Amino acid sequence: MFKGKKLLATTLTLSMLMTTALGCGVTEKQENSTADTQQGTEKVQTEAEGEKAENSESADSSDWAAENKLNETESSEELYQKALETAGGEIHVYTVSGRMENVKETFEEDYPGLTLVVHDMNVNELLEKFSREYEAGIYTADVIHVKEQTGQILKEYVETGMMHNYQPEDIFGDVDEEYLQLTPMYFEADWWYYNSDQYDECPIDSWWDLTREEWNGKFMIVDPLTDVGYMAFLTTIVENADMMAESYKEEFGEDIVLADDEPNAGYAFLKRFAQNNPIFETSSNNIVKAVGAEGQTDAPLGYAVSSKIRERDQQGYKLGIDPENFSPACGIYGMNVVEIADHAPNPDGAKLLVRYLTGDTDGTARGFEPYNTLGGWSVRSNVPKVEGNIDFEDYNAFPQDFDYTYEHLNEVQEYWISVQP
Amino acid sequence: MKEKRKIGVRLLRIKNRIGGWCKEPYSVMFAVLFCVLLFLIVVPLWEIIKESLQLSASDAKRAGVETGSFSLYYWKQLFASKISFKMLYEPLMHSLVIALCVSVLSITIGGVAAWLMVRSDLPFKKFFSKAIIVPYMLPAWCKAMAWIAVFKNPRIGGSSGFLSYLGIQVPDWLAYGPVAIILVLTIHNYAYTYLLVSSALQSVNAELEEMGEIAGAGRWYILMKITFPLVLPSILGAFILTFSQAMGTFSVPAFLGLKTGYYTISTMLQSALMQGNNGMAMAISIVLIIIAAFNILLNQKLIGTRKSFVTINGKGGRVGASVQLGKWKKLITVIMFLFICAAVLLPLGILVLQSFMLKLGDFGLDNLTLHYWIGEGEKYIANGLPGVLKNPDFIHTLGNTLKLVFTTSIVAALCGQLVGYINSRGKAKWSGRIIDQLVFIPYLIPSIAFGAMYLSMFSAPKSFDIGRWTVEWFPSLYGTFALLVLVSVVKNLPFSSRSGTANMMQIGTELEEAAQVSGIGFFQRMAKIIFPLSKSGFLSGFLLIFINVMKELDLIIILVTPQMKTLPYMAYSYLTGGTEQYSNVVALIMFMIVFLVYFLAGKVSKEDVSLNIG
Repeated sequence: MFKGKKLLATTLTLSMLMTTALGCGVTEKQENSTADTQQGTEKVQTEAEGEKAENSESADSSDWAAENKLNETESSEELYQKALETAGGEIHVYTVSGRMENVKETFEEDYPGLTLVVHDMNVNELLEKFSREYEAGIYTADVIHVKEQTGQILKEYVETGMMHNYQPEDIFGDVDEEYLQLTPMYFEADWWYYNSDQYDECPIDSWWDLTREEWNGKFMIVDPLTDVGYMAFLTTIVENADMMAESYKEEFGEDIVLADDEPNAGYAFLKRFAQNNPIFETSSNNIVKAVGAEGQTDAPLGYAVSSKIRERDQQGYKLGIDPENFSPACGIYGMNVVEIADHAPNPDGAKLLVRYLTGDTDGTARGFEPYNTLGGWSVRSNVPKVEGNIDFEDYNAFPQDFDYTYEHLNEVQEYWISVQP
Repeated sequence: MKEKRKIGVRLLRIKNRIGGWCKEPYSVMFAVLFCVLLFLIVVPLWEIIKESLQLSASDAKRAGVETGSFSLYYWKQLFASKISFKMLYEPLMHSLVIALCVSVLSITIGGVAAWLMVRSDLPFKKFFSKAIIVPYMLPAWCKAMAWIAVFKNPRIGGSSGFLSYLGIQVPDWLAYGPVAIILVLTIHNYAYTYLLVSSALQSVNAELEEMGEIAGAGRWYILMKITFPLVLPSILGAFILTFSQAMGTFSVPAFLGLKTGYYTISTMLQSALMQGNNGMAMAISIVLIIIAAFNILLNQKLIGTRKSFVTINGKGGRVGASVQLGKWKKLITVIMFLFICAAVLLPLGILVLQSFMLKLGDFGLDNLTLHYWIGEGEKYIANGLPGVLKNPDFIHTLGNTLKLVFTTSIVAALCGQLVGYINSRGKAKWSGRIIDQLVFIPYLIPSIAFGAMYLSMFSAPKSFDIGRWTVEWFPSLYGTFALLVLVSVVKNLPFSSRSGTANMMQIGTELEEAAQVSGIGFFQRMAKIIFPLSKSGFLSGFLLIFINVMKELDLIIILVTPQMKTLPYMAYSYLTGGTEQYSNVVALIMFMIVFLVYFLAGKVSKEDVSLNIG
């Protein structure tokens, strides 16, 4: 009997809910249709108003930034005091890095009373979550930490005012302008790993080596179709087709002969590389693990992110690298940026966290420590150097223009898919 | 005058019909359910279609138009461009082949196993019935990892696989690609068939078979002409689930297919999502949805022509006569043991073994350690991460997971029975058919997309204005536990309603009619007749959902806040973080919880259910 009553209650509530819902839907529709038929002119007006609203929204965002002094330099102590009084002392960071958990520990020690809430996700989930929340007018995130390789963060988030740069003079004053379109925290890059048990030195010294028959099916990359960062890299190869042509001549001693479906040396490389059967992996982690495992006699080569070189010391993987002798260049930078979310609930906390993560005034704040490892670089000159790390300037990067990458990524992707064996 | 009367009669008739319709509980239930489903399922579906027809921010910027402009760009690219073959047609072929093979294999294995367990005098039933369901309790990616741990060959480098370690050369075609994917997915999926068919067999009245025997029919003839047709609805239900699951699953083809460049439609879809290319991803999911809809339609045609079979009725009813296996008994028992070893004990064993291995790939005894279970943090292992059981984060996560899983599976199983009731009672009507199709849609929408849709649908309160009053009829669910439950329940409706339908189909209407004649109201009928009889189906529905939600990752990842993260999330982040051993430990704990609940469910329910449940 009890069961029956409960069920009845549920059914009733649900049906009531739905009737009200339906009722509302109907009335709304009627109103709309009368409005439509009666006054076409009004519609135009509303549209114009809508546009205005949109414009004022971006003005709203820049107002917000100015109001919260994102273009000024305040001391960490000052920000700390203010952050304590806002949003219950909570600061939310959306990050793509597991190491942020380590930052949380030291941050809460260094700034007692503040709580750092870490939302650790992969990049798509992060951007999806952030944009959906933003569109719905829900502001949760204070700081966003992502890796920029495609120009997407710049074009779709920072230039639209959904995220803001915060570059206080005492930290970013002496950083090269070319890196300041966004707020850089640290740089990574990619390079080729080989098994140091099996080879005494890197067995390849050019991208074109990987189109040779001897490496057929014996090299691994992260599938560019699952990680857009690598598609951005392939796009940069096309952007630098001249460098690739030159490098071809260096490698094979003659000019490259292009087939009909190879518009330039960059595309030609993509095609020949794809048809030499790379082994696709889903992450850099898996690649260094496969390349560096002990006791192999026939280990593949692997192209993976530079910061994984630390696994050589931590996990004892047999990893060798030689990024300084690679033709025509090793790869592109993966710029890890920290941006302040528009309408961040705790703007002062957000500023404080950005300062903490980039090393603060003297470059020694503990926020940067977890990221100051082999294969990672700060753009700042006063951050302590990691022993055994090659210099940032010595990493041989392809020149990359975010505008070009952003514009041509789709084209290159289509080409890449079409030339798969 | 005459004319007027005619119209009056007609109006009266219509009025009566409408009145009758309203009084009938079935219709009311249908109306309510229909509206709720419309809101929870059709709206997200519409969003998906819309997204596939609108340019994303990136593509709009490239094309120089406004974000969200209408465009057929994604559809053109998918169906009629130079990459269509690589992007759609080839992966689709791969997927269809895989899904078909997996379905056929799973149904054969699951069906035969169910029959042996319920109908024959197979020995060690208790052991078998528990063991056979084990693979389903592990996340699919665990089995793919186990497969690689055994069959890995030097092609992809890394630590050696078990067979290579023993000096056995494993060919590429076995280690990676379609064969591996099909076998792993079969092991993962046969449990659907097993559960659904054995629950159906449970409720088949033995008298039907006995009558055949009395009439002089042979054993084989009875099996084919009586038993098989009776369980056919369950088998077809299982086919749909298995087929769609195999079409939509991502982790296994990614682990085992990518390494040889073998793409399926689901890995293509996931790639598009991973790249943030949502328009394309949505277009691909619509293709998936259409295929599955076709599949359901076909299924309805089949069940429709065969009609349904009432197997629980008011008359007599003694369940399960044993078929003597006779001289085949020994052979069948041995085969069952071998199968259990290969499909169940091996993957589980590897998982356990790896969780004790300090370094992977070294199968020596001195490499064994308890570190990943109960070790204190040591600097040289995984940045000083302590063993899982010593990690305070773990207890918290465990609590979250249990709360979510229990709430969701109870709610979902109840809803499933209700939907099942509508489905079964309205099978001949358009209304029942519509519900049947609606309910299946969430299954076809990729989890991560579904989660995203729910995030935007429910992040703001829903309200409307009456004059000066604003009525908020649905609160904002953003960041709440309720939203996680809601999305998990809706996403799992296909499962719960399948088992609910299969269950309700077998409960004869004459029981209800008898009660109705005696003047017993609808709700009492439900409480006293339908629910008690559907107990077994409810439990197996509950277990299916419980196991599913326990493994769920993609669906809720976008909706959770760090305070609400769950065990699968923990296991997966360990895996991607390169510390498989930790991941294995968490996966094993998940497995133990599921197994325990499964075991207890068997204990709690009475004997007739326990055979099927555990």
